[in-house]
Amino acid sequence: MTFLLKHLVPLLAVALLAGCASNDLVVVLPAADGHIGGVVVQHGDNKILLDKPYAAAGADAKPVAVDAKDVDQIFGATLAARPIPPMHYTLYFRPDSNEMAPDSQAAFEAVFTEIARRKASEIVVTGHTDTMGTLDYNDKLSLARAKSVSKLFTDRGLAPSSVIAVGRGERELLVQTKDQVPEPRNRRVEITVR
Amino acid sequence: MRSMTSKPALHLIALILALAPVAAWADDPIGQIKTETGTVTVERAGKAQPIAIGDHVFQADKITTAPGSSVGITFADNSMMSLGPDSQLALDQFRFDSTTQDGVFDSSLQKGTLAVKSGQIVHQTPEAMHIRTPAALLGVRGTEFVVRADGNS
Repeated sequence: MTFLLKHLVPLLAVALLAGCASNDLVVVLPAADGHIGGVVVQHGDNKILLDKPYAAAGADAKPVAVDAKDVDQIFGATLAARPIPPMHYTLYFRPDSNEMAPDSQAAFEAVFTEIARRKASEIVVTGHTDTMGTLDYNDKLSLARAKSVSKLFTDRGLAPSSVIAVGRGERELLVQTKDQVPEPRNRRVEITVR
Repeated sequence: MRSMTSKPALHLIALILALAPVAAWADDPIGQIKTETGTVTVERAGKAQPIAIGDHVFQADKITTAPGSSVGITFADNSMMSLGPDSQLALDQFRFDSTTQDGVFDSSLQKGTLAVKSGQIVHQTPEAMHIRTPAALLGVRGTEFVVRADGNS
């Protein structure tokens, strides 16, 4: 017993401390758009939701105090390696045609300027419809429109492998309407440069 | 012998294939290297190789940065990650349906530092993105955050 107390218990205590003295850290950053959904950190039975700027926790899911300076010191090189965020453009078309509305021609050109700014880029061409027709029909229609718009980009010299066509159908309305409502503003194509 | 499949049927099949929503397959790229400094390698199917800006990454890739090195990746759902020096990240599981934006994104930070901005997968389904460290499990509800993992916990 004396042996246990004298040798094993201190050893155990050191082992436990070492476990707690982990360098692990999670810090939530301020969001550009102000919206923070948060991160849940879980360690065994401990659980904590971090949902404020600079809310932070260690590996044991207990809160720790961290400020902007700490983040810069620990994560400066990591943050410097962040990719340029994706940029979004919306193109509108004359009804039942592949001819762009005059305003959209400028957005089309802006896409190429944005691509030139990046070392490696992909563009995602996402078709959207209004709520006329079924969900399934609109998924297909929006993808067909996205594919035909993709061709405008590959015709201008973008590698087909860097142009991704996506159909979102009526799942992401710009203007909320009931089902079976024609709405030109919902019939659009969004371009993401990333 | 005449073909069993009629011409209209073939046309129909071709049309269906052309219109089928693009779902992410296991061998599809899941992201692209956007920034890089120093020495960055990817371990794919048991083989380590250098990876450069513009290269794609795939599910099950393990990305490693040497001391003084870093890398930034943008994924198919517009989520973004960057790894700091002397770090290791495994892209365990990535599934993404670009039409519904349903998906799963699980990765493990084995050591080092990581900055994360969540994307469409989390926007559609909060906590469909998880990051494991040797000590903890993170469930992402939608935000930008940084993680440091010890690697020996």
